[in-house]
Amino acid sequence: MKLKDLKDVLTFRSFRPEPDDSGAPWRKRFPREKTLLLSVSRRRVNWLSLDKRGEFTDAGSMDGELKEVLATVGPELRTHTDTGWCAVSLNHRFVITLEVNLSRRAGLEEQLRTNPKAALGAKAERGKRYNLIHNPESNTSLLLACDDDAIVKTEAMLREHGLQVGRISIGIYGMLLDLISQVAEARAARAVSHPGEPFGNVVMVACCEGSVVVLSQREENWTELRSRSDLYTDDLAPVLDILMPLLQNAGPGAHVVFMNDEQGSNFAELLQARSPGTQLSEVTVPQQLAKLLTDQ
Amino acid sequence: MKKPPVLHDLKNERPDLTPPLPAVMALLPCLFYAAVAGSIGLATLSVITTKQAIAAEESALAREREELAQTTLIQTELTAINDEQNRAKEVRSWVQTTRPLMTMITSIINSVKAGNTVTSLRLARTPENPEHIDMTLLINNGGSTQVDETREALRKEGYQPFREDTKSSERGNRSGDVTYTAVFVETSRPAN
Repeated sequence: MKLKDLKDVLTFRSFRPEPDDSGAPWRKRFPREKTLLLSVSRRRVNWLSLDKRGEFTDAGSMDGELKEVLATVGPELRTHTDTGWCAVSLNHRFVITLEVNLSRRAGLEEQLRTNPKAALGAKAERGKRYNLIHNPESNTSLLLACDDDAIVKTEAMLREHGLQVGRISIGIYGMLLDLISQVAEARAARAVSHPGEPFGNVVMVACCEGSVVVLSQREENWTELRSRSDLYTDDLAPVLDILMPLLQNAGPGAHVVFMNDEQGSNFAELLQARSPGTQLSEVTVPQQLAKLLTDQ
Repeated sequence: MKKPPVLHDLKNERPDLTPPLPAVMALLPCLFYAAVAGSIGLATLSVITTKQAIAAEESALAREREELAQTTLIQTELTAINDEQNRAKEVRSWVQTTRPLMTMITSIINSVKAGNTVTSLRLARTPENPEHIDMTLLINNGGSTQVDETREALRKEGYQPFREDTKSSERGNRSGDVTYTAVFVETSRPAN
């Protein structure tokens, strides 16, 4: 037994997940500790601190690539975290696709991390990292593929400035999964309150720092998906160009469920202007992306 | 579809990652801290008790010193009283040695019958036994009869004889010369 192990037991550190344990929620890994949250886009970096009381502070952003931003504000960012740990949302260099008839054997998710080729077969590409979620009610699955190079470089650049990556996620993918679960809950609730009635078609839209993903769901089936990164900067108008074809395919009466990385977007006005009468539910909560990164 | 409990993570998992220890094991450091706190408490209690004991010991020693001082003082006073008593005894002895013998002399003289004469009368007292009066009486023409008269007169005055001795030139001399020696002690005068 090392002295550090003894110290960790006496400070109760051993009874908490390790800082880079991906199987534990962020807040359980760092109770009463200030950590940094980074949202990294191709041409902008946003940051926010989760302080010891669990509140978000020290928000900031800077235009430029991560390397340039770190060269400018790297030391300042280091002061926003007690022990150097940070969670990163990578908002570019990823692809989300809708797959059909993927294997659902036990342990596939773990195999996807260690040996994507064995898990996905011909669909796997070299230099990619994957994550997968199955639709339990149909044969469709969502597959996230991210450039391995982007993750390795991001970790290395942050390490150079004294920052350790405790988690690196694709924020918009997490938001999409959140949207899917909320729609599934609403559908289950409606099945109880209105037995036998169809739920209807739903088009889920998630926007995160210039990236957008649109998923169309007909009853329990996922039917179409469109995903783009670096599509917009502040104006959400280009999102509608992606959304409209799926909305038309979903047919009249389709319900749009929208989630943005932050509250206060003009998406509702833009949608009403392009498609009057479309039902829209915005489920964005304050500091949506930061909450997603820290609550789960 | 339920939301995944933990957000996906694309970084490589560290191979030596260890899961957290079971929460119930947190009792061990809790017990450790409780033991440390208990030890500190006991040590504090021990220090306080030791200080109290030292203070009590010092107090007892101070009391002992005070008692000894008082004993010494009392002994000094006792010595002074004893000295005083001794001096008083000496004074008393002196007073007794200077007690007037006139009563005794008067009784002896008054006891002498007409025709008898006292040749010599010696009365002596010593500082060691001032209550003892040594008497030597020489009588002419009285003999042992006069001695009896004189002894009786002295007894009446409260003087008790012992160690008597009567010397005479003739045996059974009841009217001739006689030398009478005795030691008298003054007692209470007999009631008449």
